[in-house]
Amino acid sequence: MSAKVMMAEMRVVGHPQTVIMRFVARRTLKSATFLALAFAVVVASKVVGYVQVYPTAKDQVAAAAALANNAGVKVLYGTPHHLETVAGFAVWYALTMGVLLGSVWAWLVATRQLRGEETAGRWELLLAGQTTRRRAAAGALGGLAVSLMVFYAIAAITLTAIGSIHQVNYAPGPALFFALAAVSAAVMFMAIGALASQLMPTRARAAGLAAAVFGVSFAVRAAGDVTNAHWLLNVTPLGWVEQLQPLVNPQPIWLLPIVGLSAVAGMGAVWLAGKRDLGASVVRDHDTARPRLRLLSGPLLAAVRTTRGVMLAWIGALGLSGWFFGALASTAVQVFQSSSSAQQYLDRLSGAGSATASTKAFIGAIFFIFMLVLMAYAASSAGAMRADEAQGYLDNLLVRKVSRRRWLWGRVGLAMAVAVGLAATASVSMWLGVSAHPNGLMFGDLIKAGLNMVPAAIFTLGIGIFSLGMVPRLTTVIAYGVIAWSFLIELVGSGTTVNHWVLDTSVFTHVAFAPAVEPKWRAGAVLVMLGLALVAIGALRFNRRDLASE
Amino acid sequence: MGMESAITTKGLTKKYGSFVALAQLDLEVKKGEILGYLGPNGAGKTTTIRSILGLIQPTSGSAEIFGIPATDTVQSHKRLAYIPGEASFWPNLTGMETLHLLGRLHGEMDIAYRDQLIKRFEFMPDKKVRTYSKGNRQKISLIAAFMTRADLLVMDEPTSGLDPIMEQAFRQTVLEAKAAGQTVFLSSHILEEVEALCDRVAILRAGKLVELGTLSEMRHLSSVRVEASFDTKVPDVTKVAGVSGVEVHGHQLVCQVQGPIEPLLRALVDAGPKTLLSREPSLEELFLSLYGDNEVKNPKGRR
Repeated sequence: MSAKVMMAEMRVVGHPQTVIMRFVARRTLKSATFLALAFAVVVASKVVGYVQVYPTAKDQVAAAAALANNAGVKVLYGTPHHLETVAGFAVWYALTMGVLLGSVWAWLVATRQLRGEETAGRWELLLAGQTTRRRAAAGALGGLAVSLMVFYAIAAITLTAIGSIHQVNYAPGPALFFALAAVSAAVMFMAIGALASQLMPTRARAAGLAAAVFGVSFAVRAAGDVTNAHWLLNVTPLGWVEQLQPLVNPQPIWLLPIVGLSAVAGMGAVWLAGKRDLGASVVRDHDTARPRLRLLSGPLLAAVRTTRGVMLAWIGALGLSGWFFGALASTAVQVFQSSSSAQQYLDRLSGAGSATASTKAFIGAIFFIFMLVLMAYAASSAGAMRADEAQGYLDNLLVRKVSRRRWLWGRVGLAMAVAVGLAATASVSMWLGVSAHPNGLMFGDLIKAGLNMVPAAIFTLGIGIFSLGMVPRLTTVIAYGVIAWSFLIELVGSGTTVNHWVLDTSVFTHVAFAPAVEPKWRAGAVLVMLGLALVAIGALRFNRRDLASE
Repeated sequence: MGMESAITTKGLTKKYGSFVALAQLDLEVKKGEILGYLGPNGAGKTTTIRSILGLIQPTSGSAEIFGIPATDTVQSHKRLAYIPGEASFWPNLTGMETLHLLGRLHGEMDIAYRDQLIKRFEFMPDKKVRTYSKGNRQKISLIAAFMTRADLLVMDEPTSGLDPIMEQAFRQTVLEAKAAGQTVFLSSHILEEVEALCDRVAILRAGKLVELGTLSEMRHLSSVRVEASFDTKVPDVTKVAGVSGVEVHGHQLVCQVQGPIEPLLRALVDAGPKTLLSREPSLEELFLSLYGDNEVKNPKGRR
């Protein structure tokens, strides 16, 4: 009787793959929507601002000449096409935003949903359902695809709306292809993140691998853009995106390698998910090791020991990039100086037009990117401290003779030391790259440019520690939010007339782009003081609050 | 007076908004004793332990470890070691590296005893933490705490994930600690473990301490079960003072008695029993008698 009643109450509540797909979609939709809205705001405000600042065709041609011949700008944004039209500007700008914002988001969510969930032990709960590892992985990729579609939909609506502006003026049909181009990097790096999750044993290493692929793609694309070796654009995923050229000269043929790479990486991820054991990875760590007790004598040294791989990866990546872009600097400047309108632009920028000045301008743009990296390191350090608390590692220390103050200030000191080390690495490696060609650039200029980045990192760390004390669960979001906000204001503010109070909320407003211009040491000192004050307030609150789990 | 207390809490209270996780806890754990700390899920056991360890700040009241305020974590933690029910360790360190680090963080460890414990718990120290099962990770916590020979061992579900053989090893180690004069504060759901090890038991419910005493002192809370068989007719004991739950199966009688057992014994002996069996309540029965009903049977009137 009772069995009958129970059977009668049973009902089918979903197909396992569909459930996993919906579950993953639900967990990623919020960040996808946030990302898409940020993309929409940045692109719309930038294009509208461009139209306001350069209302006539003559203004736009002049602006295009300046932008098109700035090697530093080209490293960051890629080669522009038809910048004499507003649509050309919109494409150039939106694709860059789509690549930068979309790719980072995509590999972070893919590695979190796949490897992160597996490491945390939650993935096995899903696999305990009536499914297989491959089907579950495919379901998760389906959920991630849903989030990508939301990103695409919002991008398409935004870009269609921008096209309807009188001075911009492009049709809705091409706008859909434009939106597709803008999200195409996110599609590729989501698949790459999924594949990296199968290859690497931890989420951090999977994300690191995806980031390395992005870094190499970016560097190759930059080399293709600023040297005569334009063929390099054909061999890098970010070069394929650049060559789609929506609106101005559509080349949908480049969708083929984009779709091909995404499909191969995505299917590879699903195939590998079924091939390996749960918890295992293609790149294996040793499961046993002889004890190495060096550095395991206190909380700070233990932090060095347990995070040294990550620290070395940051230093290595920045060192390699510094050398690469340093070596590229002379070539890039030579290429631009040989172009007809370059001299005029460089004269405007540096007031000199010499090779040294234009090299400094180029390197200034590279150091701006490095400053973003340094700030990202500072944000990740605050996030790592929060993760230690949330995951319970910190309990192991605090239930022993380690005080909260000692732990927190030790980690803050370590993060600052590594930030200074990263800055020095950037300066020295850049010098090694630049010094291959005589250009009049002094070593001291690069050291100053490196030091110039440190206050921004310390301020970001300060915001992170302040958040750790006040709202621990939002530490990572707020710390990275400072970078995103500053970047957004920098981008929006540079083309439009934004209230100076709003501009002042961006860290970059207070930092000079050395060595192109002399560092603002006084503003830097204020940033450092503010950062330290924020750390002190955060530390005070941290000492008094309860530890908070995830 | 005289004997030093290992743990003293006075009016220890922890609130989360309007939710009271721990209410006015007055508790004293004497030096050298093993105190069992019991309560259903959400009763406030872990909140008590995290307050004692200084991981959370009490809303009001205080806690002291050997007279040192629990808020002075550097000084108070010199004298204690903690075994959590589930610890997170650094996944890329080996078991031995983790034990070394935890020992250095405590400041003192008995290396010979550590090696003895590694053998006793059949622990493989060369493997990386991420490869350990839950039980093996728990062994790290156990060895790391016992090897310090700290004056006070604070345990929160310490045998979580251990197999029965390892649980026996744990009990042996706890008794060694007691023999060495160490104090043990043992929060556990394994009542048999608490019954076998503890000198006194404290029972918590909804954030309030409802009982504290030795097992024999607490047995008044539950009925004694009495079973008797007769050759003749089973006597009617339903009217006897304190008797309840009378069941008669042929010549067999089973009943419960609370309070003085003498009136029941007199009635049974008068009827000439063939066999007579009475058994004191186990800790499990005591626990269930406290939590089986909606209202706590509490002579002091506390909830």
